[in-house]
Amino acid sequence: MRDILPEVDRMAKELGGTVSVAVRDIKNAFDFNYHENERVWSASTIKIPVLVEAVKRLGEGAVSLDTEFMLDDSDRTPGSGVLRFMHGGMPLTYQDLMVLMILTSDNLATNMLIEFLGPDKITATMRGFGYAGTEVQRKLFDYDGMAKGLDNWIAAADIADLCKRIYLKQAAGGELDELALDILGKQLDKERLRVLLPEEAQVANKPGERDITMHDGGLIWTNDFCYSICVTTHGWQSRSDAYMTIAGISKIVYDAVSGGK
Amino acid sequence: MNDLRDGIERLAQSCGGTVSVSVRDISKAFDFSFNADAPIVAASTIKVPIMIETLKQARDGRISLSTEYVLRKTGRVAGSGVISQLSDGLLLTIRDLLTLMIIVSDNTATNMLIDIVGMSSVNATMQAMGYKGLTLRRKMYDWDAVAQGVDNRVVAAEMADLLARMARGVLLGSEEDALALQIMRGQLYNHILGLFLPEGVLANKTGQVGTALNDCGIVATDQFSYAVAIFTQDTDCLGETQIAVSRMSKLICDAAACKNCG
Repeated sequence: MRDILPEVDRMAKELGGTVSVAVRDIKNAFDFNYHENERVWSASTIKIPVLVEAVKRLGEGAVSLDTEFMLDDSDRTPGSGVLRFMHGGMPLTYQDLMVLMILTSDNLATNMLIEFLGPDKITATMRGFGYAGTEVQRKLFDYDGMAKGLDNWIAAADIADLCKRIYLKQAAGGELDELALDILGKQLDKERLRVLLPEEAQVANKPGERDITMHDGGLIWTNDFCYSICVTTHGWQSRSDAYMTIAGISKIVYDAVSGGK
Repeated sequence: MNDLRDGIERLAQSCGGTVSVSVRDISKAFDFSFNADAPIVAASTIKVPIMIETLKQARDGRISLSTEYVLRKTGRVAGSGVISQLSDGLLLTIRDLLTLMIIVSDNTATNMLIDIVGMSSVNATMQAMGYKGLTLRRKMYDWDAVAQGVDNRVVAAEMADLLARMARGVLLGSEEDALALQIMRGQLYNHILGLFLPEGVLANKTGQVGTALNDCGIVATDQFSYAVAIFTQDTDCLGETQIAVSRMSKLICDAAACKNCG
């Protein structure tokens, strides 16, 4: 395997701000770390930990896939997603909320889940996996929480490891992780990690973006190899440069794993 | 403007295949055409004409946007969207379906709307508006039709013209056109025309199927606004075409900004 550190370092420095990369080998790949424990605003990438806690609760029998939740007409959390545009009173199942949270990065669905699951419990599950950098302190677009200094955090190493756990069924276990992987695989926004990879690359991921922060984390596999990857960026000047940096680093890793270029 | 043409040509050549670009001035921008009359496989950009027909029928009192439909196991189609992954029995209004068809390019919502408004009505409306090149011939994920050579087509010049009229409020009338624009502003796919643009300036509809990669929309800043359609097919590499289209969009926006900085 060739040394990708110089190329990653060059791209990270060109972007500016803080760039972190963690790659975890699952099959015929390799581990790679670049400032991997740097704690950054999670943006929507926090939805992977929320998803893991959500499927874990299913296993505990506290809730079922068809448990009904009602779309509250008074709550129109802004930002990504579709529910804020849907008619008030729309009944949704627990599974619908998980699906919308991941596929469309739906903030309203996510807040309904965080409310149900409890931020502390999500954080506790992450601590249980040994993730010091990942924390859920508030709902999304919770301006009161923000004013109190509450925020949500991830580290690239935590997310890459969590994705590996999901793939290996060591997060919530068995069918629960299969469900989580299935939902992540149906992601509609596969852009950053995916855009420069060849057709045969399969991707299950969750990007995140807020102000001067952009991330993407997930799993990448073909018939021959499999790995998890998380690239976080923070403090850059140009959104499009951040996008191209994540895409470029993903391609460097993919080419090194696949033996291409 | 020559610089813009050179830049677009250079990027189009780097893509290979067919690249079609049309810009229509709405306010303080410009008109621009590059191979703008080429018929291109529509992919999901055909959802713009379907939206227009749905809003037209609502305007004319033939349907109501608040009518509810029940999501069933049948009629679900894969590909883009979220409804196919949601629970059986979900209640969706026509407005919900419209929104999902546009902002997440939902194929199931699209097919439900085609059943509601009628394929021939969409085509008749486009013809009457003067858009003979915007044609709906098959439902989403109807690969049998595609195999028989039946497909939906769009023409960049016509789509940009439609969008410009919509933005001016003279396509269906100010109320319906404003709603169409509002729905398009909620778009989640802002990575093609929108990738290199400032945040919040774009209302658009993307499309991608096979080797076709398309995006069309309205760019509106404090200084200027224009409609733009960039359609491509048979290019060498989808990922690189996507980024090339993003760069074309940026060149157009920069040219409009340059025109206004005097």
